Amino acid sequence: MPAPERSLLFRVFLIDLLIGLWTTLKYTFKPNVTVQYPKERAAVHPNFRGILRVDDDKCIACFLCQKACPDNCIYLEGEKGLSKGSKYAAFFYIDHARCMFCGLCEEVCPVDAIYHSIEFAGATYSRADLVHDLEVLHKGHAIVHYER
Amino acid sequence: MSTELLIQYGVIPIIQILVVMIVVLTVVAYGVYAERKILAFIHSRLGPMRVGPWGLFQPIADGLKLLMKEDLRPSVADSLIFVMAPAILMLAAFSALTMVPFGEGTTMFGYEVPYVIADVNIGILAMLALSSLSVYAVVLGGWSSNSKYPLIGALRGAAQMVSYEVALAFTVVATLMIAGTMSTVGIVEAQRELGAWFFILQPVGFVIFVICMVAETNRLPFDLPEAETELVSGYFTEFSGMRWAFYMLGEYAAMIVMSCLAVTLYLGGWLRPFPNSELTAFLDVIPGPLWFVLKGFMFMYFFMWIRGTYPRYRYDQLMTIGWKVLIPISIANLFFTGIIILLVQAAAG
Repeated sequence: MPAPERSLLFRVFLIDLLIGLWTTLKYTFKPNVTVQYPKERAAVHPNFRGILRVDDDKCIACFLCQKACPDNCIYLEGEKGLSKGSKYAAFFYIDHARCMFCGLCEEVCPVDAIYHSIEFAGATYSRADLVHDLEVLHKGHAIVHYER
Repeated sequence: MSTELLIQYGVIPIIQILVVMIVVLTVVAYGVYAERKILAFIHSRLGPMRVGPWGLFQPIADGLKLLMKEDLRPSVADSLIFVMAPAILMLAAFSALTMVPFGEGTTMFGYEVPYVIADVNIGILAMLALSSLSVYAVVLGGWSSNSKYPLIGALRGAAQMVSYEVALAFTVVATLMIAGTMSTVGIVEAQRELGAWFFILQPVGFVIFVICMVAETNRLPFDLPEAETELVSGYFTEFSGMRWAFYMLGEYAAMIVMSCLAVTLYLGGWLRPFPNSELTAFLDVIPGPLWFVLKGFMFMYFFMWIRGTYPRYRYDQLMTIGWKVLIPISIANLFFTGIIILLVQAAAG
C-alpha cells in the first residue's frame, strides 16, 4: 500500500515528526506503569491459579483429584480415620514440575481441600524440591523474599 | 620570565586538557545512564533503579564489568587494525573537543586562562575533519573483524557518513560566510556583534545541520551501520569488553562534539539569548560556561528524545533524504545566504 500523500505544508515543516516528538514528550512526564518486582509485587486476580495447596483437615482421601489430573502429578494415600467411615490423607505429594495449573483438581474436589493459592514464586534450586509433601502443601512453601 | 612562559603555555593547557577530559568522560558515562533513564520515561518505565539511589552508580558498575571482561579477539581478525579501530574513534572525538569554546576566558593569578584549549584560525574546519575521521573507525573496525555483519555495517556506515558530511559542510559554510571566520571563538564573537544567535539568521541551515548531526553520529533514526535488529550490532559485532566500551564512549563523545559544534555555530556558544538587548541582561547571572553546558545538554537530550520517538529509516530512504533533499536544500541555502550577504554589503556601501 503506498503511503498516504501528505500536504506540502506537512512535508516542508516536518509536522508529522514534530507531532511524534510532542507525543513522546507527553509520555516522558507521565507516571510509570511498571512494578519494581522484587520490591513490590503486582496484585493478582482472585481467580489466579498459583501454586497448589491442600487443607489436610478437610481432605477425605477420595482420590478424585488424582484421577482428574491430566498430568498425573498428584500422588496420595488414604488411611481410615478415628471416627467411623472417615478417611484422611496419610501421604500427599504434588509434583509442581509436572503441574500445568489447569485447575481441574480444584474443581473436582468435593470438600474444597485442594486449591490454587495466589502465590507464583515457586522457583527452587533442585527439581526434587518442586515435589511438595503434605507439610509444605499445608503450610505453603517457604518464599525467599528479596531483602534490599 | 621563563617560568611565566612555562606556566602560560605549559601548565595551563595541561590543566585545561585534564579538566575537559575528566568532565567529558563523566558526561559520557552518565550520558549512558541519562539515555537509559530518558528512554525509560518515554516508555513509562523507571529505567535503572537497582545500583545505588535511583540507579546512580549504574555507570560505575557497567564500567567495572566491562574492564573485567576477557579480552577477546577473533582468530581470523586483522589484529593490529582490530586494536586500532576503537582507539581511532576515541582519538578523533576527544581531539575535536580541543577547539570547543566553553566561555570567554578569565585572568587567574595574573595569567590569561581562555576557556578553550586551542583557538585555531581553522577551528571549524579542524573539528569537521576530526569528526569525519570517525568513519575510519567504523570502516576499519568492520573490515578487520573479518565477519559478514560488521562488514555490511561498515559499508553502510561509510556511505552514510560520507553522504551526510556533504550536506553538513554546506550548511556550515553558509554560517561561516556570515561570521567571516573559521575560528570557534570568532564565530561566537560574530554572533555577539550581530546581536542574534545564528539559528535565527539560518533557520533552514539549522534544521539541516541537526538532521545531519544525528546521521553523522550514527544515532537513531539513522543508526543503520549499527542496526541491532538487522545486523546484530553492525560494525562492532565482534568487539567486546573494553574495546566495545571504547566504541560506546566514542559514540557518546561524538555526540558531545556535535552538540558543542551546534551550540557554537547556531546557539551562540556561551552568550545569553539576544546578547545585545538590555531586556535579557538579567540572564548574565548565569556565567558563560554554564550557558554553553546548558545548551549542550539540550542537544544531548534531543539526541535521546528522537531516539525514543522515531523508528529507523530504510537504507534507500536514508540515501534519498541525504542526496535528493538535504544536499540540494543546503546548496540553495548557501546560494541565498551569499546573495543576501552581497546585498547587505552593497547597501552598507
